[in-house]
Amino acid sequence: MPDEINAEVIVVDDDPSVQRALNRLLMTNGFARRIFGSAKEFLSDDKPSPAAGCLVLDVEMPGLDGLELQAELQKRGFRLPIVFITGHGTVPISVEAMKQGALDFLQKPFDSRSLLDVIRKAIEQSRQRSSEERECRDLELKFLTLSTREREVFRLIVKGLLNKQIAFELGIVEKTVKVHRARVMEKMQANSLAELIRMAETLRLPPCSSAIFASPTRAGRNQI
Amino acid sequence: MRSLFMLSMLTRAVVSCILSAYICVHPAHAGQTREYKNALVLFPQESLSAPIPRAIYFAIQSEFDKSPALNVSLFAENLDLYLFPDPGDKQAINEFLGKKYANTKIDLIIPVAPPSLDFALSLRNSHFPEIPIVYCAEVAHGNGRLEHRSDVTGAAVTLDFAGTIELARTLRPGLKQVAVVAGTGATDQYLLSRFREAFKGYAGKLDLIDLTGRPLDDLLEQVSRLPESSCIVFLFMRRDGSGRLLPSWDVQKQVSQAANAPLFSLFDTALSYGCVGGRMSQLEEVARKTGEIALRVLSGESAAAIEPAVIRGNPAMFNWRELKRWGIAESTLPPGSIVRYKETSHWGEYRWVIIGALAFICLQTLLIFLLVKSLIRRKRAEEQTSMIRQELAHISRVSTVGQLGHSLAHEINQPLAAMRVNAEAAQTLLGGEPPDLEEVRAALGDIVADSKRAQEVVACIRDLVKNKPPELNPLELNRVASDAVQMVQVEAASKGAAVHLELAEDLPAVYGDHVQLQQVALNLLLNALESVTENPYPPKLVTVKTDREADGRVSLSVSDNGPGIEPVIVKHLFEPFFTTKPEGLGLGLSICRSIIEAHGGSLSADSNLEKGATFRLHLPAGPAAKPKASSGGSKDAG
Repeated sequence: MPDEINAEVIVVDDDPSVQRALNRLLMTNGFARRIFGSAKEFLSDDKPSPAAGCLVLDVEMPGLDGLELQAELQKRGFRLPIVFITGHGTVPISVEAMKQGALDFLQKPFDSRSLLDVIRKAIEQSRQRSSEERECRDLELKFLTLSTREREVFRLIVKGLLNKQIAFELGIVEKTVKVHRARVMEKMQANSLAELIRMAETLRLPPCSSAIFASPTRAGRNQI
Repeated sequence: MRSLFMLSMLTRAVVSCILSAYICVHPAHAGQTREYKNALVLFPQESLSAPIPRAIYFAIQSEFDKSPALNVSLFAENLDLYLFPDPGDKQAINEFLGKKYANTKIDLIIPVAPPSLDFALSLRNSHFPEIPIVYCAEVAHGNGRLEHRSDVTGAAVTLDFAGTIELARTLRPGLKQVAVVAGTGATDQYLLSRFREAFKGYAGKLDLIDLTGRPLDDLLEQVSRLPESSCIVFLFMRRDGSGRLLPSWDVQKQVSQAANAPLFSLFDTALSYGCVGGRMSQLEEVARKTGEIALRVLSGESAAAIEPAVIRGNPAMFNWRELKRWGIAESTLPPGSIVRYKETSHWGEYRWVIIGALAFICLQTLLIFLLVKSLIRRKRAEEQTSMIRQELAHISRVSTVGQLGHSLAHEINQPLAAMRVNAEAAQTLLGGEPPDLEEVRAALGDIVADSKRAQEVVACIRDLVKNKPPELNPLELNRVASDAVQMVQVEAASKGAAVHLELAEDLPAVYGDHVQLQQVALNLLLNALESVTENPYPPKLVTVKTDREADGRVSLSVSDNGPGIEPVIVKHLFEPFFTTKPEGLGLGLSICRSIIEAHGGSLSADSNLEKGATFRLHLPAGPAAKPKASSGGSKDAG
């Protein structure tokens, strides 16, 4: 599935048969893919992880198993959605996996369509997050072009203060506030106050926020 | 019995050989201090070939041989006095003997019977002056007066005619006739006259059948037709009615054989020639007595000082064979009877040996029977034990399969998943435009391979679960090890443990049952995994290693880095029902050991130097090490 953002499916399974089968399935359905035989092999891969895609993990593997790999990836800030496949899943394991943010937990032998559906969903999710992240990064770059005074004005604008109130707050004349406000609107490429407010909200999102705006409130679902 | 008899013969032969060898080597011992003497025994009418002279001669000789001081040579002469009664003939014999012994110093003359004594006296006068005479005679001769002079003495027997007739009456209660047999010779007639005298006492009680003075043929004819209630008294028959000279003992024998009535006689020497018995004159006894007196005289004692001895009390003597022949029971014999020539059967002679041997054989048979019985019982018990062991092994295996449920499901689901994914990919591929048939073919190939793999796993589980008797085949221990490791891999991963496999190259094959050995390996592995999970922190390591030992055996060891085995426990490890696990039965290791021992190998446990424990099994290598088989055993269950 070609797209603006290149999506890639990463499979980690120690079983050669399963590797071959998954490779064939993904190839047949047009997915770019990378297949690894173990967690170690995957972690030591030089190639940068794709912007979008999905990680298909076998639970039972010698060395680091699926769940341990999940924890390790979380530590490393890896964000692709994870789909677990298991030869003999137990409820506690699947609950643990889901708690740690797995997208799905499939029991072998699984229906290929289910797997493909989950993979597609995961890719969609990662893509969406990927584009949000890109937007966020753009806004951040724009925000960085603002001067200190302009950032102050930006903050007060989105707080809903009038120019007069801003002038009073900052101890400057109202006219100057207007100039700053026009600059902010221009630099942030905002067409309306509403858009500016939305941008401010976006900038506060933890993934793209700088230290100043860090806030965990909306983390949840999109995190890996 | 025969061999026993032979053995005793052989022993006798050996002993006599040794004795004679001893005597040969020490000849001086026998004759060193003995003085040499010569004695001459004179028989009146028969030579040494006849039983009476022979018995007398040897009795005297044996008496002489007893002397420690004298070495007496005994010469014997038959005077044939009754065949040559003419005085001129006697003189000729006298002269002949005088010349014959001219160069032999005769120290003593022993005349047998009164005529010989007369002859001896004359012989002494003419040729052997002053030589003492010791005679051997019969009391009645000379009217019961025995010759006793300064240089003549001797010994005599009594004849008991009446006693013999009385004995015949006792043994034959209906006895009416007595047939008397005697020849026409001088002795024959002498004895006959004595008999007739004695028989007078039975006038009216018994009839006498006179069979004296008949030719032999006639005699034999007569004795075969005697009345039923009769018996024969055989006196002596040197010459028959036809004037033929005969050996009396042989005639007696022929008469006895021809007779239809039992034959009684008067001399113990006649007993063996068809005589049933009689009040016997003990000729041998009197001869011995004669010899004894002769020895005293030879030793220098004066004959005058030695009273002539009389052997009385003629005992009732019987011939056992004749008693049998005439159906006379031994119980009817008078007390103190002597029964001779008893046929000693092997039974009689070796009774206790036979009884002993039979008892021994019986005991032995019984023992063998008991042993065989206990052997059978033991074998049955062993079979039962083997069955129970196999059953236990099976239960243990099933329990192992239960423990491995997780792993086994994984092992089956893995190929199943691959197959399904491949199949569905192939379906998609076939729907393509154009369909990628090459890839479809590859997918199908993978499906076939995966289905085989799944089948193998199922077969393996089936083997473990199935209860079948062990089968011995050559197999690779490496394969056993790697299969077992493969089966617990998932189990290990789920416990966060790592299993390392170190296989020795070029390992010789072992003989064994694949399922059972795999069971042992699995058991040891699962125990090791359980042990390492007690480690609070990684690494949790289990190492499976195969090796070739210096002694040619092959080994498989499973070591872990768990908490190890407490020293107090080690010796109990392989005991049945010993367990350290709360839910364990304590059978796993005991079953493992029984399996390995049934394979001719050994299983041991040791604590590692650093940490953990190592279980090691040794098996003999190669086809030469074919084990005894039997038993089953499974692992785990512990």
